[in-house]
Amino acid sequence: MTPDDLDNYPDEASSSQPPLYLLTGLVLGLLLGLFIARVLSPLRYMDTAPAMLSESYKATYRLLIAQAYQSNGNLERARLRLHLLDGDLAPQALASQAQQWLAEGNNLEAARALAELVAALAQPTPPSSSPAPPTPASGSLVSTVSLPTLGLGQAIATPTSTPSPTPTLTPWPTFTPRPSPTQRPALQAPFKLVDQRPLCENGVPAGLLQIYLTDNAGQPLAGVPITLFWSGGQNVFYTGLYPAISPGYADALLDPNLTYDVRPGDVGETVRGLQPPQCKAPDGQTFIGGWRLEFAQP
Amino acid sequence: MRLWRILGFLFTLAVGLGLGLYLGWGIMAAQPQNTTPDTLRADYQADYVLMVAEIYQHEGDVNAAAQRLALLGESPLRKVQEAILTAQQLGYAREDVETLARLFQALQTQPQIQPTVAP
Repeated sequence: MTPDDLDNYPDEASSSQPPLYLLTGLVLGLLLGLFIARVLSPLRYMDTAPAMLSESYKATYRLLIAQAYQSNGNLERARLRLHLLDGDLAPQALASQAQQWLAEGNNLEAARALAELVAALAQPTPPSSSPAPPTPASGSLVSTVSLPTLGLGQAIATPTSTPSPTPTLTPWPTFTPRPSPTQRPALQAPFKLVDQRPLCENGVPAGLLQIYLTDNAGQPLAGVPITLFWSGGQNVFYTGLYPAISPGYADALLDPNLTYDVRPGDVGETVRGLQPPQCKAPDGQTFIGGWRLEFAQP
Repeated sequence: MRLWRILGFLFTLAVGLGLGLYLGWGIMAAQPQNTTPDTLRADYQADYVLMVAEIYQHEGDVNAAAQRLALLGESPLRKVQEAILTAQQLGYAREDVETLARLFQALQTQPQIQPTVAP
C-alpha cells in the first residue's frame, strides 16, 4: 500500500463511505502480528517441569522411569520421578498406560516394564526402622534439591537458550549406598485354585475373566503373570494393574467361541477348558457371563 | 488530508500489529502443559539423562541411549556433559555421577551416532 493508493480511497469528509484505509491498516497489522508471533518467532517455554510435558512425552517419560526401575531396582526413586510427572495420580496414570499398551500389544517389552513398576508400587511400603541422616548425596533426585519446584504455569518463556559451560574436574561428592533391588513376587510358588464362580450379574461384560491371587498369608499378590492359552495362541497379563480393586486382581475378556486354559504364575495350577458361561436373566433370556477365579499359595 | 490518512493508516496498522502479537503470543500460544522434554529445567534434564544412563548400564545399547537423549535436543554428548555438571553442582551420589560418566564415555567412543528423534 503506497500513499498514492491511499488517495484512491473516497474522501470520508465528502461522502458517507467508511474510512476503509483504516480498516485495511488494522487487518494488515493483525496479519503481520500473527505471522510474527506464530511463524517468525513463536513463543517457547523454557525451564519447565515434567508435569508440563505433552501427553505423548509423558508416556515416553513414564516408560523411561519404568525401564530405569528395571535397571536399578530403586522403587523409591521411581516413585519420586513418577510423582514429578503425574503428582498424586501417578499410580493410576501408570496403570492406565500399562493396560493400554498391553491391550494394543505393539510393544510388549515396554508394556511389561510398565506393568512391573505398577505391581511394585502396589506392594505395601515397609516401615523404615530409623530415619536416615541427611547427606549431601541424598539430594540426587531433583525433587529434593535447593532449586524451587515450578508450579503449573510458572515456566519462563524465552526465545533464547543458555550456553552450557564445559565440564571441569571437581571433587566427587560423598558416596551413599543405594537400596538393593526390590524382591519380586515369588513366581515359582505354586498357586492352587480355591474358588471358581460364574459371573452372571447384570452389567458384567460378556466373557469377563476375573482373577484374584493371594499368598499363603491371604495377602493379595501383585505383579504375577497370568497366562491364557487357547487353540493357536496365548497371552500374558498381570495382577496389580487395578490397585483400586485389589493388588492381586487381574482381568481379561474371553472370546465365547474359544476354550481357554488359565495358569497363574510360572508353575500354578492350570484351569482347563474354560469357556464363558451361559447365564439366565430373571426374564428368562440367556446371555454370556464371565468367570471369577481365586488362586492362593498353599 | 492526505497526511492524516497516512497517519491514520499507520496508526491502525500498529494497533493491528499489537493485536496480532497479543493473539499469537498470548491467547493462541501453546499452553505450558504441552511442552517438550528439551524445555525441561536443567535439574530435570539431568535426572532424565541419569535415567537414560541407568538403562544404558543395564542393557548396554549406546544407540538406544542416544535416541532417548535426542528428545532433549542438541547432541547427546553435550547433554550428558551438562548433566554431569548439574549432578556435581547438586551433590548427586557418586555412583550416579559415575553412571553418567560411563554413558559419556560410551557416547564419546561412538562419535558417528546420529540419533533420530522418536517421541
